[in-house]
Amino acid sequence: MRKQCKGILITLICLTALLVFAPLLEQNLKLFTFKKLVGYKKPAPKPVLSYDAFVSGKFQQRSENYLKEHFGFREPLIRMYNQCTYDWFKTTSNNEIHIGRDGWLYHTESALQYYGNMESWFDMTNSQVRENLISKARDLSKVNAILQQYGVHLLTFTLPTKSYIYPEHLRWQPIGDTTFNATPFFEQQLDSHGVPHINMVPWFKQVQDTTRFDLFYSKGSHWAAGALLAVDTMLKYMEQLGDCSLARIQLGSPYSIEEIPNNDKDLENLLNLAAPLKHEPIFEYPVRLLTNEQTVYPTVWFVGTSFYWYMTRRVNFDALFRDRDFLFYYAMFYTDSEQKSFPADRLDYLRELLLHDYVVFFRDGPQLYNDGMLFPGKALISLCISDERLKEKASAVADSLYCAWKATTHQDSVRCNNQAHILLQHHPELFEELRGESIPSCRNPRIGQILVEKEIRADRNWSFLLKAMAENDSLKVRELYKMESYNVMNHQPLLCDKAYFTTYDYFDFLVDEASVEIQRSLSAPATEAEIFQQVMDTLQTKIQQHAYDDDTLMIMACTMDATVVQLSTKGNLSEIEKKASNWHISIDKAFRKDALWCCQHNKNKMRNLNEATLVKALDSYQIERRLRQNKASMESIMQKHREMNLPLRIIINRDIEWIRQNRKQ
Amino acid sequence: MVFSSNIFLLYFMPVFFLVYFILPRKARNYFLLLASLVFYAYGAPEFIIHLIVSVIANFYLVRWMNKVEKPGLKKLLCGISIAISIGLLFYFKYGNFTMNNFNAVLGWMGAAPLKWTKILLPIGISFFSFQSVTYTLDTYRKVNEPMKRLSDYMLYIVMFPQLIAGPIVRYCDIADQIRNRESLYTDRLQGFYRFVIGLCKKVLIADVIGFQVDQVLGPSNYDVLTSAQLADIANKIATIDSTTAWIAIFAFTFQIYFDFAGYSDMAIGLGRMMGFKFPENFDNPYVSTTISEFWRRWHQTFSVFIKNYLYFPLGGSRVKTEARKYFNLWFCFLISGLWHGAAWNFVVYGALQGIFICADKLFLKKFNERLGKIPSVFFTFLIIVLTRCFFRIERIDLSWMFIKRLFAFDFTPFHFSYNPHLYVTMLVAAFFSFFTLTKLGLKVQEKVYFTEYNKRQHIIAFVVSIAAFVFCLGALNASGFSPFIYFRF
Repeated sequence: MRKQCKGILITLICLTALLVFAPLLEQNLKLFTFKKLVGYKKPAPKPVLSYDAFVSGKFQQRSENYLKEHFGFREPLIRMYNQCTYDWFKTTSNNEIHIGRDGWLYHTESALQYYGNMESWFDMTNSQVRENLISKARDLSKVNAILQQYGVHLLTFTLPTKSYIYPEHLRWQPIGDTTFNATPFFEQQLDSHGVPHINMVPWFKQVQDTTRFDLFYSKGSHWAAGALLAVDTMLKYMEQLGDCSLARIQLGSPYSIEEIPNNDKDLENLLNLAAPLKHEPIFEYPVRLLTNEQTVYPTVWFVGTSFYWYMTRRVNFDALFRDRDFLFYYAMFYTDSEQKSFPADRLDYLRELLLHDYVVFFRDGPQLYNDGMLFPGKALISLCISDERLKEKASAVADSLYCAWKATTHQDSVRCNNQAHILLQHHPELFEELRGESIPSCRNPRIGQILVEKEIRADRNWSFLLKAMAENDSLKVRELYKMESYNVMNHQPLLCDKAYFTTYDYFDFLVDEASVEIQRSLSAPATEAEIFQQVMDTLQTKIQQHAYDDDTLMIMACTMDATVVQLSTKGNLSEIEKKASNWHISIDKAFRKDALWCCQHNKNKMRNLNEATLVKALDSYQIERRLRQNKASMESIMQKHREMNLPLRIIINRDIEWIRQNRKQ
Repeated sequence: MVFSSNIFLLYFMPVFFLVYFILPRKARNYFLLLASLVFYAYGAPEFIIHLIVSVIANFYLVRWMNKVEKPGLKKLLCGISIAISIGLLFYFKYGNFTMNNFNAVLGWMGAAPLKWTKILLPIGISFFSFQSVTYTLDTYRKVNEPMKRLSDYMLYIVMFPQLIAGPIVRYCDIADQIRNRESLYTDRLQGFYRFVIGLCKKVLIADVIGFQVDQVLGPSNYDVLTSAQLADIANKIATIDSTTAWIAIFAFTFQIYFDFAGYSDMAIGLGRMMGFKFPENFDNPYVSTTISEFWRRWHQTFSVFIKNYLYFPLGGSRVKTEARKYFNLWFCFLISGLWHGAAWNFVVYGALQGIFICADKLFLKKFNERLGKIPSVFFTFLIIVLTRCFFRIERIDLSWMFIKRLFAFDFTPFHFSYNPHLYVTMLVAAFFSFFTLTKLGLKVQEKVYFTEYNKRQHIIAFVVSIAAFVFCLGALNASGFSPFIYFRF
């Protein structure tokens, strides 16, 4: 019995040792793969052992931080713990998330803001906080007045966050009424300063009371169907501001989605639980865009938060706006259609403000107090203050900061300079010329050049030539616009005079023209031959219009020609029509997209061929087309195919080669 | 390095025990010594030399003291040895405090303050200094022979399980175990179970409660705060509602117990895995019916140290006058208060404890007896809770302000309006603090802690311990993982 007990004890000791060693083994051997934890956390740097680092304790601290992120079984252990605390106490380790009632999740910050119970720096009883908000509203009103002088409309709105629309699912009770929310206070200030703004909260509340579908998804921080409501409201207000007719959205019958997209349950993902939460289906609406002959497609610059992505996901902004750019959290700037992005520190605010028809600035409640409110100061400074004056002022402020800080902490001048810029953006009133209630009379001297650039952008041909040049020389079109406007201002030779077509742009151009014809043929009954003829005529005209002395260009043009022909078959055209309807874009655009893809595809295929091969390819292609168009030739080919029992392709190739050889002789 | 850290739990501990048990018995002490030095050096690298030098000096001084016959010289050497230990403790722990107060006095007198460079406190100095003192005095009193090998003495002082936070192991209690001990299989397993119990107390109870307490009362160490942060805490305390204040101070009372008792359990468990039998440090202190009983149950090894090496030398209760007897008692508690930290709030805390001990002897004990067991436990617990205000809040004016807020009866909606994790944890803490009031509770505790397990009990304890260990690892690492979904610019 004792022996048996000893055996069990040894087994238990071995098992204990194995289990205690398991994380160490897993860390080094990586035997299992686990679902990664969701969320951003600044990764701890790998510790480097040195005498100084060890003695000062930094190595130990860094090791602990690093190991915390890299030990074996980290992910399942954290998920398991979170799952337990979620199930038992409805809490998890993530303080960023407030777990509400009925399975609803909120951002803690927005919940706190709703109850007016933020940290002391959010305290609305503090007169300094209130004064700060008043000055932001004043800055926005100045920005609005100046932008109006240049035909740009400013629109601002506070995002109706989930806590405001669905407070009934919040876990907490209000703390008291000693503090109050910044959002209504700021809205009041915008009203009194005449800043165009939309208060979406009452509208959302009203809709929420009448609709059976949630405007926000219970497990996410962003809006669901609420995005459509926001876009609709925004468009109506933009129409009113610009006194124009914009495309409108029309909603179809809602349909439910069982598989919730990951982005929509961002808060749930952040909880990092072991098992997924129970989900109710999410409802989406099909969206149709309504346009008419008077519809205009403005350019818009959005400045705001991730809520933007949730609008663009549901409504095709490409079809609503001619050009739209987005500044995300003052960190990344996304140019048209989010195709390109660059860090916001390289962004020229003045250009963006003036080059667009509308500037839409939005933020959520908690952002009223932090960097979410950098925009008014930045915009005002960029509109009114010259670059030299800004530099000079920043330098003076940096000097005073340096003197003030030098006594207490170790500061370097670079940091002081950065701080000075941030300080000026938060407090544009540090510039004497920007103080007071009246609209500043000073202007940034670069405004003239930017307005010229706006003119260039509006001129379709000029713009097209510059785009072509940018494409051909692999330059940034934004830079070319800038250079061209500089050339105009300084009476220098213009870039557009030197611009020439690239094959790619030429094709763009051809397709543009051809698609009009195709559209016409779609509206009236036409045979395939008629469509083909129309396209060919257009292409022929366009090719003749431009004298080509470069064989390669000719080959490329012909390849594109072939692409257009390929696409212009009735089957393809109906496919394109279908795509256009699904994507809510015009047939013209859908055709263009497909054609561009084909062109690019062909171009890539041809890239590695030498010129002679290309000539041969073109020649072969043209022969084949003629062969296929000739009924007798095709019958002969088919006969050979049957008799020789060879693939059709080989027979055709043989015939093509035979024709080429004979023609040469 | 602390026990409830990844580096200890996932690297140091597994590797240490693997090597320790692989090594032959003779080499184990050397390896334990080496690991202990690494353990200390990892946490306080700048003080490892101080530690080693003071240990070596003390070892040879005590050997010399033991050899000399002349009582005068013997006494002198004993005094030097104690002076080294206590002197280092005083210098590192109370140097800043003394100089700050001295300079304050100079300031009142209009004199210029003396220049003083702030000293960092070596971790664990309060514990290993006291162990050195017990070694010197036990040898002086001929309770035990001095150790023959320096490595053995060094091991006694720096052994990692009890180096940082005790228990304060008297030399006489462990002298034999250093060279002759046996680690049975059951000890290894039960040591591990005890370690996990301690880890749970620390990670699942004390840390959870502590996080919430810090939200209300700010960090426990005000030295690291800026004046603005301190002003913010003062403002918070001045406006705190009574409900929050009561919950916070009750929470802290549980936090400190489960934190300290958890650490002691881990130390005892680690020791037992190697075959050491460290003395118990806590015996359900919150079920005490009097303050005197509380101090017999709370941090027992420290109380024993104070009794043997301070109270008795002062004369104890065998003194001529009653006043002297009460003074001795009060003074011992004053010193014990100061031992907890070099700040006036700890002095007040110690003085208050001394006053309550004296009151106990005079009338409080009789009053409690009349109350009956449960009311007296509650009453004693309330005194402990109230005096804890001075322990937790480092500034006396703020402590007093906090006490006033406790009795302001301002029951407006409070800070912890909805926090089930805190409430449940506090309930669990309260349950484990008081469950030995029942016979069944005592029996269960006796079984879990002190009896040898049979096969079935081992299997159950193994499964529970492993599950708890894994859960603690999750808690330990999840608490630091609060990611953002977006960058906050």
